[in-house]
Amino acid sequence: MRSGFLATQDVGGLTWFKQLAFGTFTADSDRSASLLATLGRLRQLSMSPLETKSESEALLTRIARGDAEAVAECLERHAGIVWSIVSRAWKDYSTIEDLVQEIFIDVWKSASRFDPAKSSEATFIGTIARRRVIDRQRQMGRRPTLEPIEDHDVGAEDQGLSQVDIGDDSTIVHEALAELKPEQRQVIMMSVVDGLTHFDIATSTGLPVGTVKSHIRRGLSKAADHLRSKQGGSSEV
Amino acid sequence: MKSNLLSNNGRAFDLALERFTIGLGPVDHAELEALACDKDRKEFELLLAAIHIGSLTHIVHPPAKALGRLKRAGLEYLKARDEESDSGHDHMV
Repeated sequence: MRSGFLATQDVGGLTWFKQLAFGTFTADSDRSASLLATLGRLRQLSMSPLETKSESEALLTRIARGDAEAVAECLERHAGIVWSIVSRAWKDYSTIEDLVQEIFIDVWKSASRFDPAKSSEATFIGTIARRRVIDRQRQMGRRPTLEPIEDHDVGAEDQGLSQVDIGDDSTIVHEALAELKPEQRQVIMMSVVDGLTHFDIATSTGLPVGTVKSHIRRGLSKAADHLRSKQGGSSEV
Repeated sequence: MKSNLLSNNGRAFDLALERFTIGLGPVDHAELEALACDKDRKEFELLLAAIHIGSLTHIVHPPAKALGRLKRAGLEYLKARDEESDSGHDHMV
């Protein structure tokens, strides 16, 4: 059973993550202690990564077979991730919806290629989404950029916006990043999440470009080890 | 196995990371394909995507109307695919 815990309780969102990324996350403050306790509960309530994979595999396999119900389930579960990724890059509502629709058509077409031994379903879909966003930005002659997560306001036309559960993936990634040195977390966040170049990061942090690159590579390598070890010993992330 | 790109400290790593963060033009993309095998590139991309997706701690669901349209588009796609498949089968028969 999926816990749905994140669907009903804010675990601190980007504020928490930035504290983690920039090395200011400590158990000293009440808020941090509360968040640590929340994460502990999350781990207890969440399915194991293997259970998550099994569920995900069934969805995309069913879609590959033409199961219409699985399409609806997949959208219910993952449309929020795709919508969030796209709306960090574009602010125009019609562009966002158009692009999200293109991404999911691509997902349906690619469903038969999903391999649960290589990634979670969310990661598989997120990879397609990210590629599409970058491609669209390059087609439009824009330098690919992503807005900070907290600037997210598209979709606010609906009352009662809901957070969706990315549960286990999120928890495992947080654990992996928590094991990194603060400077490694910082540059990985700026690169992978915010889409900044080595040069941009060096300018922003004052670190030499070579050091930025080294932090990213070593940090990613360590994170990959953690993710692999947590996902049932599978060979991929 | 972990992507070999993570132990690469040169051009291949730079290009693979840029492909994910800002995208590559055709020339750079061709260079990346020459420097790193498909398996390594995909493993590296999945790692970056996992970190990216996992960091989205606050996700906004699409509006209900948009979700409805996405579902309809998905069902239409499946229907068209099935019809195309049936049509192809008839040809073969």
